[in-house]
Amino acid sequence: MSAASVAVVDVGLVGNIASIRRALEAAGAHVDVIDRPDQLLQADKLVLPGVGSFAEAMAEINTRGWLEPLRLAAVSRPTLGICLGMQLLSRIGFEFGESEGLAVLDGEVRRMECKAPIPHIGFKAVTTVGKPELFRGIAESEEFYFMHSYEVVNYTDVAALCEHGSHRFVCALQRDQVFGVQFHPEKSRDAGIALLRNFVEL
Amino acid sequence: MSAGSGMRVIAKLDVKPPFVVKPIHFEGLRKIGDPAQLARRYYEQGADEILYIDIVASLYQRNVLFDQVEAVSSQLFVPFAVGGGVRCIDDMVRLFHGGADKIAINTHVLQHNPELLDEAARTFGCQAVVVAIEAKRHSHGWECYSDCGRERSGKEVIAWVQEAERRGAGEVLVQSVDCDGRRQGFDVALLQAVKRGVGIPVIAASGAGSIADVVTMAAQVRPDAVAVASLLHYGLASIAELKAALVEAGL
Amino acid sequence: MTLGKYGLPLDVQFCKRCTMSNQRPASTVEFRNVKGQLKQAIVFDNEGVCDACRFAERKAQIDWQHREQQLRDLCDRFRRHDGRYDVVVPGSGGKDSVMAAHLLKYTYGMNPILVTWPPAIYTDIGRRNFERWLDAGFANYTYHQNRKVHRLLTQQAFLNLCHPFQPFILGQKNLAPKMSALLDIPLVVFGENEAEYGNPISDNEKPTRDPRYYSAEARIDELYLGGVSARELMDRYQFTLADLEAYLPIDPNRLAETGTEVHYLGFYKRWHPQETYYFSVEQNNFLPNDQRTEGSYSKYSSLDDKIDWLHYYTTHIKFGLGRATYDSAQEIRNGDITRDEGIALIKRYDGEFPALYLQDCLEYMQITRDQFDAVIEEHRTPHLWVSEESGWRLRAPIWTQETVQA
Repeated sequence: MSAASVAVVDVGLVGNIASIRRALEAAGAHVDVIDRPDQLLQADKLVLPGVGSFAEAMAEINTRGWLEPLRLAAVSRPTLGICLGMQLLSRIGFEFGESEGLAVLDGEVRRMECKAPIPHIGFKAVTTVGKPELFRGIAESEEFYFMHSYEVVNYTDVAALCEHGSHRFVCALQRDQVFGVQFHPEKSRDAGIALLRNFVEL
Repeated sequence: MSAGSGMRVIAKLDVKPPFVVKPIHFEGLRKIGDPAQLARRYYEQGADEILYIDIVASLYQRNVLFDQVEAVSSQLFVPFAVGGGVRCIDDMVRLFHGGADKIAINTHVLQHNPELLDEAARTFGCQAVVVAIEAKRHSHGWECYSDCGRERSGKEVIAWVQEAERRGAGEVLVQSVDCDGRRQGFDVALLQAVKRGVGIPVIAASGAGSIADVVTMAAQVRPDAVAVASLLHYGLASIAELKAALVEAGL
Repeated sequence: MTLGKYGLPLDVQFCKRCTMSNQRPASTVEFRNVKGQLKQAIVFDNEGVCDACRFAERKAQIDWQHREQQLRDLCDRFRRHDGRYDVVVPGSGGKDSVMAAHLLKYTYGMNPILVTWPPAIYTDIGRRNFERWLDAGFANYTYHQNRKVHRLLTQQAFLNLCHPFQPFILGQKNLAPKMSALLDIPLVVFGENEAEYGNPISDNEKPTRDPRYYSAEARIDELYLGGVSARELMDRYQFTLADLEAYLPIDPNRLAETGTEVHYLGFYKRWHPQETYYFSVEQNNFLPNDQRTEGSYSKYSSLDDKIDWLHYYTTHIKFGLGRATYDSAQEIRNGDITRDEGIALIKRYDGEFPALYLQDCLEYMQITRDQFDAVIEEHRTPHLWVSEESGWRLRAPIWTQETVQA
């Protein structure tokens, strides 16, 4: 059986695509990086990474014509949003003003508020809700790397929760075949690779 | 596996390409080894992050050597922070393309253009921007230095880290010129002052010579992360041992 | 061949391996140094490589185990078993003398007594490191110079030779052999050897310092201090022989009575200045400078005398070579930095005006800023400098030379 094919979407934001590519390859995928909207529909699976702010990312997406193609592609094949990528899947974001997201999933992106230092940076264990496919075979004690100041407020599609300070927030989402993780699986050692493998092998 | 508080243990590589080196008081270029090999070794020992600083880039007035950075990052599945001679957004973009997850910056924003911090936070998100401090004690506090602990800035550490936070830095790496490389413990007063002064995560660095040094400091300061160099380079402790000790101490 | 000022070659060339130029003079026998004296410059071979770099090459070939055995033999020869001091270690608490004292005592089982010819104007760092040196468990004889004399000689050396460092150099070379005779301790051990830095390579073939640097059977009229004859100094300033003795070479017969031998540790142990820095910090809590040393990029070398900063400024004026050049040449030879890195550092820092301590030096020498400027201009070497609207510029600095494959 040949390696499953995954497309990493490069919408034109500055950022580190290389780590995600390598991690997906370590998870057994054949990886293509696509940088044109017309390439989306050829992909078997999509990974949407993201570095930067919600507003800037959405501005790029709009300017470069990604908006409709992404919305379409994300609901017609397995799609995984990572960190800002997960946030972009939401309906609306409040980082640097109010801007509409891809609205593939419900929810709002808001700045985290808690007693502990923000940005939230470091390794944390997560608590899964139900038996989400992404976390199959991964022990509850495993930790994932977080690096964010904003969170997605969406309790409809919760797949996992995390706690920072005494503040619980949603750190993984799933609706049908749309997935999102707030943490960086490509930065989370073996647990992260295992999670990516679960996605790759869907 | 980290402790409940998630205090990260970061392996710090001070690099004068093509070698990892270990200065004392930010002076001296004693060679330790190959950056990619050491990064891989510390990663396998359980490092939560790898920090790569080209310590001579600003001093020699050149950029970080991007191909060197790529060679290191290709081995890692943990966060990789890179600094040294960063002077503009373009430098940062190149570093991200080369595999960096976070950028560390000192000389240029301290001495020339603090606005670069604002711009970087807007462009990459504040969590990707680490402001690095080289602090040196004087009679009333600490002064910020640059160019590998050589050039004074006239700026007080606490005032500068607070300004950096306001401008969008997401983390602060606190190094001490006085303690660097001595393996005699951290400048606890400095770290406590910074931790009290900012709301962003604080990475404590400089001075660890034993696991006890780290545990003592961590109990007194409660930093969000600790960066160690000599401790690892001279084989004084492994990361696994250090993390176990921190967990045991409830930190 | 026409020579320029100071007897230096008119065509500026740089060693292909390090950053030193052919304008660098070899060590001078200072008590014969007069105005207008021609210098012997360092030697480049037919591949354009300087003596010091060739010596560095040879260092890699030397059998250091054999040399160390020679050191052990030397120590065995002089070690005393009756509890008395058996070796004189000169220095002022800089990294070299710190390491020399430590090694001799704690590794080679000798009983050192430290001897110091102090800087004219101690820096705070210098004082701190001096005290830390003694904290490690050593006694020390410091010859405190007659300040009136020392000040005057420094002034004269600056005015006549643009060489304010001369009185320090004189004492540094003379004191230890004299103390050896006085204390009846024949063995004197210095840190490295100036020959490492470009004096004739033959100077490196032996472990001992050439006696002509510190001893002379000469009449008082033949000796010069600050470019002025000793006789004239005594007449003009009413100095007595005793006042000047510290600066004058010792009578070699006196040394022969004691059996004084002046050795370099650098002959017996492979010298690497940065490693000496590490050693002195780790073993003796040596402290580097609080900030970058003006005129260079480093923090660990030549830190104790405020005159030093002025000294390197004068070498830049006279020879086009400042502290960054000296530091980088040494570090290149020892593999710490590359030639290109050295050039970048020289471009950035060499010849930096010694603002930090200039006022202190002027007050010490009792001269005005105008007098200072006049002396500097008088000694600026014409074939090295060109005057432009923005000020003086080196005609042929290293960073404008073609890049070479070293």
